[in-house]
Amino acid sequence: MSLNINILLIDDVEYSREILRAALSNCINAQNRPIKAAFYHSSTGQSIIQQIESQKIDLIYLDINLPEISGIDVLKNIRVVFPKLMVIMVSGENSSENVKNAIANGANGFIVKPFTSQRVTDSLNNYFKKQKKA
Amino acid sequence: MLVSSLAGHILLAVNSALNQELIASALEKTGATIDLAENGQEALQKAISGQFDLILMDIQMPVMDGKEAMACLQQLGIDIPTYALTANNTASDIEECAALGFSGTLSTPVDLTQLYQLLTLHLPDAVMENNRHESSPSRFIATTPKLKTLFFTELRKQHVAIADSIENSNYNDLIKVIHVIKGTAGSVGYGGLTDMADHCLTLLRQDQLEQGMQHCIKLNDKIASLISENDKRELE
Repeated sequence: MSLNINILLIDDVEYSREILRAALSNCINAQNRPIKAAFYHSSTGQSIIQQIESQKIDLIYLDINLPEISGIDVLKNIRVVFPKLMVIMVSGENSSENVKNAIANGANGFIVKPFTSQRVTDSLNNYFKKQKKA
Repeated sequence: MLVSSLAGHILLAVNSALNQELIASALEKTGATIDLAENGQEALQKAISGQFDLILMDIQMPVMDGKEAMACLQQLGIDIPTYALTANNTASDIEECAALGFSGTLSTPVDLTQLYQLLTLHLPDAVMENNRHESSPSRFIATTPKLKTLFFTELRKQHVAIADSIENSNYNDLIKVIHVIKGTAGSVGYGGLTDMADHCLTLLRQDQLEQGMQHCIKLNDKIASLISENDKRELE
């Protein structure tokens, strides 16, 4: 049986999303079982709750530095409705404030840009591990 | 014992300067590289952005203690072998640390034989590490033709934006553009550009504007030369 995974990438820079998508695709292709991944994207954190529902999102990569609403506020909004959805924060800065806020609001991961594919792979493997446990 | 032939990276987070000096000097003899953190918060930040093979961490630290830092590492799924340094190392200490997710405990003052045993268990061998680097497929994200095209399309726009912002002394826009370059270039193999961008951002954010601007000009020159190299390659 193949595994389906719907991944949402939230970043206002198209190029950043493409790098992440390329890294995730590489990692998914390297898994020793068939996985069907669908990628969705958003350049803002607005109307995210609706998007998560309609696209049946399983995993989110959320940039902290977004225009309008910050990624941390988006995370807060997501947590109200989806307390268990896996959300990985992405940021150019591992400042103590970013890290503290991410942890306090229930982020499941934190990767710093420019990321290596090792870090992206780790985050995806953590998702698969959690699925196994559930 | 042959301990000088190890490689890899260790994060050492200890509270006392004396202990830090003692442990760091023992670690350095092995050939591993060491990064230091003074409290749990700093250790957490470094663990998030660095690639470590092993973390050694005091339980008692200011700002954020070792237990809380461990809980944060676990929440974020950062799976690096982490050992707690404890003064007592009683049965209940060992049990508590295991429950928190530590891989084990080391009592302070640190016993060198014990420490080296730990290192040989978790650190790569220097010879193997050399081979690993040469054939490392995972350092950068593979650059597909689409990514490369996108990268250079963006870079052209960024080059113009940087020049405009420098001319108009628009520091906010300058920081925004350079922030994006810092966050993307390294992932596709232009680590030098990420480092230069990082340096510019540090200076600009510290309000060292004159020096910052000089570095921004250098960065933009570098970008121009990368673009023209790429154009030449495409023509060939």
